[in-house]
Amino acid sequence: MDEQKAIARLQAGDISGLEMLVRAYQVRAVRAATLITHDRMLAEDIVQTAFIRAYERIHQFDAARPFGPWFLRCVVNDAVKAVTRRRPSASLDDSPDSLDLPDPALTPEQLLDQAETHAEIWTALAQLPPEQRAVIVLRYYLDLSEAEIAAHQAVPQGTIKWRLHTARERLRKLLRRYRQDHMETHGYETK
Amino acid sequence: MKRNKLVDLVQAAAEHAAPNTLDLWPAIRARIEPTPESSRRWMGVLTAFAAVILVAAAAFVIFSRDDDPKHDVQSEWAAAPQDQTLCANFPQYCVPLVGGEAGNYSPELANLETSASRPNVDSTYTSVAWQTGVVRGISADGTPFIGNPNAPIRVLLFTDPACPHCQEYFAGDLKRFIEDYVLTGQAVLELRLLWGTGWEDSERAAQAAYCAGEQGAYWEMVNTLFALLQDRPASEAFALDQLQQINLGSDFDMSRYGTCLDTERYTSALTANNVFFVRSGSDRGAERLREK
Repeated sequence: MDEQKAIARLQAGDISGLEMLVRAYQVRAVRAATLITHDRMLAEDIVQTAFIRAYERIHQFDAARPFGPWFLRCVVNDAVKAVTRRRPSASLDDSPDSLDLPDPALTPEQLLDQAETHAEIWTALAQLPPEQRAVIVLRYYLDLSEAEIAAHQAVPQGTIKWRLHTARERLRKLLRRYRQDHMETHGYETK
Repeated sequence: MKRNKLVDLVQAAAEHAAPNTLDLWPAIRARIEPTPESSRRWMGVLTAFAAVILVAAAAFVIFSRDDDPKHDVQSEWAAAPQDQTLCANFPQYCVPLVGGEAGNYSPELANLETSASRPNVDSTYTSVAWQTGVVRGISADGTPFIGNPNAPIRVLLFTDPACPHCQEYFAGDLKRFIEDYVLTGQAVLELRLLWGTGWEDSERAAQAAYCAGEQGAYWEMVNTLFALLQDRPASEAFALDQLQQINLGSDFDMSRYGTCLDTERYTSALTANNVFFVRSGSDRGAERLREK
């Protein structure tokens, strides 16, 4: 069953249409939400709720448009809201990346090249504000273009460019610090 | 390639965040189609909610005016046969005095509220309006009436014993109307009691009037109620112990009257009176005066 048929079935009241959509998008949705919330159970709850909301409002959905990108963007938004509610006091000043780190000797790309494991990026993502996590997830996990992200968040594309730049810069600083810690731990000399 | 590196890292982190075997469908389906247990729980909640809605709707019907043309009783009244005010003409408003099927209203009241069976009430409680010899009875819709049942003029009066304007009207214009029209056989007066002004005090008073009516003394009790209110507030005048002490005469069965008061058996009839009153637009202050 293709996506449009699934939506048509759902709009006709056939719940099997929703099952198809759940099976098609649940993994990506939960992963995206988990990257933002860093809480798997919370992420699953967010995704379940998003599917149910989509089910309840499916009559408002234009079946001619692709369901996946729209749904995943909704999940990302919900995840950001959930994290913001849970940690309302989080601010830029609280972020570890605001530490006075030395000027980078390596470009972000070089540092990223050196990142060895998913654990480093996972830990680094956790140190970003939720909005910056979201823009990283949308761009580098869900593969949305800057224009698509801008359109969904109703902000100028330049704002998305800036958010992505800021997020990458913070990731770079965090990864650099992790790299320094790693090398010192293993007896390597750092600059 | 650098972007691809970041993509690869985020992708790897994502894959470790949740496995490919993830299956949310059973949980989502359960939330959409509740299990029988949760269905019963929700049914309980919905039932409670529905009960609240019903109570609110009943309160709305009683206490608010309905301007919906579908319920314009004045139009229905105009379309009704000119010589009758019967349940058949107002089926949605006509509630027998003590419940049950139409026509099955308070048989005791119907049998006793007549001039023939009326007890020998104390003259202290008898004004010119209710003097002996005036025909009285119960109309087809269960409303106590006084006067010539075949009179060309039929007046349906709604009154609340605790209402100051009703008190004024009762002692003034109504008295004149009764003297000029009812006692001369030109009009018949029907009287329904309300509780919209004095609430529970008015309701107790109205119950007392209908209970007295079971012994043929409805009009005497109405007269007494208005008299009681002349020098004290309704909460005092219509307190239960005060009402229980009213003895309308040597033939008045106080025990029977007291038992009737305790049962509050005319509650549904009083509610029906209020509904009819509000729905008919009578709360605008207009009296219903019709001529054959």
